[in-house]
Amino acid sequence: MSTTLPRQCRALRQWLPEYAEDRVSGRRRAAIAEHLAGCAHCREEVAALRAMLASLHAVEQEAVPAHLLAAVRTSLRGPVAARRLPTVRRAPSLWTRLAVPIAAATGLVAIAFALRQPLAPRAALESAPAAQTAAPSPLRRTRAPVVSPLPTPDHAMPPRAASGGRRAGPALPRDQVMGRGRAPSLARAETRPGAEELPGRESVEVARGAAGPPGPPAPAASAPAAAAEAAPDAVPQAAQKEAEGADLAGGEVNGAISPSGPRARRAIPPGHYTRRHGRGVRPERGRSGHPAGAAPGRDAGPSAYRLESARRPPARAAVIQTERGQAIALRLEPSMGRKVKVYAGNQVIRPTGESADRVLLPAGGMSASPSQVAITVSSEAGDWKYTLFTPGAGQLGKQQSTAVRRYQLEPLGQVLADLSTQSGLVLLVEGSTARKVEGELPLAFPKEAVAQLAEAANLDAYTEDGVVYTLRPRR
Amino acid sequence: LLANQAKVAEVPELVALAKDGDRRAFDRLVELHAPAIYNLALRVTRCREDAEDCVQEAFLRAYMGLHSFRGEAAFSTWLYRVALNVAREQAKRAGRLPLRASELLGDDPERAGPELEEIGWRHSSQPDPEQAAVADQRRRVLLRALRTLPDHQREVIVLYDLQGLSYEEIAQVLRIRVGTVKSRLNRARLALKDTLRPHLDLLREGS
Repeated sequence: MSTTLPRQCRALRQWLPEYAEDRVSGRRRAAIAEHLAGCAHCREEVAALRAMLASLHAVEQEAVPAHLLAAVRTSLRGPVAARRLPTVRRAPSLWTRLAVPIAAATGLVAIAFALRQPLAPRAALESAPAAQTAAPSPLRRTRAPVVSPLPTPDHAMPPRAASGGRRAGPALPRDQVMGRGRAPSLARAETRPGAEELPGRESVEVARGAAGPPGPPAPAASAPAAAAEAAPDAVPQAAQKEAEGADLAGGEVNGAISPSGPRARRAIPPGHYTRRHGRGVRPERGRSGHPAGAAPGRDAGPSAYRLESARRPPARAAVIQTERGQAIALRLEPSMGRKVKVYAGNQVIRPTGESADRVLLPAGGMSASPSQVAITVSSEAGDWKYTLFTPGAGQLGKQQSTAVRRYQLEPLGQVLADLSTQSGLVLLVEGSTARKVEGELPLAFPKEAVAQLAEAANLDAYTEDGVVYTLRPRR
Repeated sequence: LLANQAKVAEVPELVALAKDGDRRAFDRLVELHAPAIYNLALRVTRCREDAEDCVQEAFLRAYMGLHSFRGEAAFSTWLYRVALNVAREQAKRAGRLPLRASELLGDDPERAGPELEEIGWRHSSQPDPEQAAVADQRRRVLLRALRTLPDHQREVIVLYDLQGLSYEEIAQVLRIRVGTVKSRLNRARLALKDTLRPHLDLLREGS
């Protein structure tokens, strides 16, 4: 632009911003003023600069989220800060850096999947809670659904957990778990242009990638399945079949969300995680590939989990187990959780009663197999129970880390208070923003699905961009 | 950097205490500086979540490197530099590309994503909804336009025009000469103005 200007304009142009701000003085100021008097173009430039600067200066600073200050304080009292090394601090392990994004990515996938789940007839769903509440029994070994229903918060810690025991589980070969087995599916999902056409399938693939491929005992099981794992057991077969069929067809919306179909039935043995010890435990690595589908319950080496003390809660995306079925996503808002209890399988892996603004994320889940952690948040509104799925994570290559990163969730909003709605399914986030990066992955919630979901749940849905939906109770 | 003089006066003593291991003093420093650091991180990383990470990381680094702060510059400036480095790393990792000028209005969520400026309207203090909407739109366009600039230009605008640092402070933060700060800022503002040219009416409205 400036190249086409008269020479004098070009010479003065660089001073115009400062002139517009009245920061030029003396002879230069006089020269500019003189030039402006005779040059409409430059006058216009100055006016434009002034308008721009005024607007810029009017941009308000954003308030610091309260949880952030708390998190900073926590991190300053964490193990890393305690070392207070003279040199640059040791970089957090790759695991640490990726834990949250991975959890988030998985959760996001779970959201996408859940919303694309075919919706079972309402009657089917309605029958679920009865069965659920009627059977608050310990988990069954064979049908795993680790947290369906969750053990009550006061559930005693099983001896194995208490003794800092060992875990067992159907581990997957490492390369399948997170590395080479996983990246391609993510990459494929990212780049395939027609992905939008088959939302159901695409979601399945992505989710599968995020959580590791199926093992022999449950060939179809994967993250989406896992996402639905905690589904009530009482969903009628017919509904399940319908659900499955619709799923493969790309997911039609029928009015209420079904807990998943048979694919969801994947056994995760109880005792999948065990408590090793408290804060700042590094995840144990080198627990290499047990054959897929190793016998549940068999000791498979020591496990550990890590308290993410320096970061925000890893539980930013999760599948929620409501009274009536399985719901979708949340962020465990630090200010919200009064007490956080974390169950893995049916074991409490974090003692109750601590004020917690964070959640333990089992390293076992990150390094061995797709698995889940159930989280109970107790608050004045009652206990909320979540199931957080962690992807299987073996060695994380660079490729995954970037791929995973791409799907990282923006901070999600508050969870809506009442999860037990008429429909059985609440879309529970307010102000949720699932960031969609460059449009590679069709993560936008299908509009119709959201609309029907909201309708069924007696919620109002708002969206400005078709990506982010806010659902609020109807007035 | 800090909102008022009383706070500024408080800082050196707090720093000294924190160096002696007083965590509460450092907490106070965090409290005083968090808004500036957070907003800086928001503008550099262009992602709320990354910005939060960045703030945590920055304070952690500052805490652990406090002994290396020798008071040659203001603590705030030093902290800014730490935060800026963290934010740059974060932004680089995230690999976000600059927006194109054609995307300023951002009707295409696929490309732009629901980013900061879309969320930011809730913070608007405009009482009148109509004006608030205009202000919101203005802010959105502005911040998006900012994202079209190359990093080094965006940084000076963020530091000078949004964060209110002086030339000298910016020179210390960026470790460049004051003259360079000025020329870079001028160039950045001109570039920003050119990007905003189609939206000048919006900028003038109510401003």
